[in-house]
Amino acid sequence: MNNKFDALKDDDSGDHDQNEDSGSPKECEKEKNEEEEKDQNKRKTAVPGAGEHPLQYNYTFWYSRRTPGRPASSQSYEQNIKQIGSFASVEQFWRFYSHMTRPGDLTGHSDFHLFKEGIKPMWEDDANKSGGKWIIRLRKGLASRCWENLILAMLGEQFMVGEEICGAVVSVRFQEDIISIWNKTASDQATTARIRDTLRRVLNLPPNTIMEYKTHTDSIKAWEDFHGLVNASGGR
Amino acid sequence: MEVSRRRIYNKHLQPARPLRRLNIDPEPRRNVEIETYTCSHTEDKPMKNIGVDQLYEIIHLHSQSHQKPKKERISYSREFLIKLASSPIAKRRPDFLPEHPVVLDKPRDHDVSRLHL
Repeated sequence: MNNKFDALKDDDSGDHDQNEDSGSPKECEKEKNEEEEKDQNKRKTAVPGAGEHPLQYNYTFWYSRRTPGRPASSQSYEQNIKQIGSFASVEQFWRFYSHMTRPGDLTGHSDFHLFKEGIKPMWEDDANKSGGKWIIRLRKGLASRCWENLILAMLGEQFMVGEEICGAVVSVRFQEDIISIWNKTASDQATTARIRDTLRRVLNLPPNTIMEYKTHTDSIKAWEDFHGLVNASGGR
Repeated sequence: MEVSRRRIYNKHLQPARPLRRLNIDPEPRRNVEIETYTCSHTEDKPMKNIGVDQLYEIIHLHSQSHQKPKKERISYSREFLIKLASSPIAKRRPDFLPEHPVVLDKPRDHDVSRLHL
């Protein structure tokens, strides 16, 4: 996760320098190494607070919004997506979630992403490149409730597919909203079937709701076809 | 008549002998069985001392056979997660939040619980 999205966490670097000033040179060096290690850990992982309920995985909230008029290249997608924060416990999740607009109240072409810490919500990420997603299209008015049910099931480890889940997305569009859940191995049919069944169970969807599985390689191809292969590396 | 009755009696008695022998024979066998039972009981004893964690692991081995049973999974029900939303810590603003139109200054207080409960 040491990339440009980490800019948010740079606030920590101030304390870090101050700490280094204290102590003898020898200690200082030792401390520096420890401090560096600590700092790396800090950057990479959120930690549950005392008395909080730890989660099986740490997660990161992201938000993206398409800027109107600009061509949707892979690069601009990466620039438009913004990290909101990472959490390691149930309590920390609610702290973030309660300080964010609910998806049903978003306007325009925008997405919330909730991914395991270390996985970027992009097709190109190592964890996603052989993966795919279940997509559910929702009529307007259902997004907030469905999104909450989806992420609570993911955080609570209700999918029971080991390490397979990568993250979840809610996409607010003009006439409909879309929720999706991404997994690592699109070819693993036992896993994708299990995810589908869990989705049906936890989402309380209207009976006629259509669920569709799409591999990311298909998504990339469709995107490239649509954009006339302008950008071979893929994007949205 | 009497004789014949006796004979019948005797005939009836005769098959009883091997039965009695059968009763004698299995006895040592039964002892062996009892012994093996007691053996398995003593083997069971340490099993009774396993911790809750190990028990969970065993249950997970059975219920999640297709996944690698590395360690127990931390899972929570939707209801439990929602219950924790109303705890005071869950309403505190995170220390680091970017300035952003979708990021709020104050928590959207009750709507989560109103939505779910």
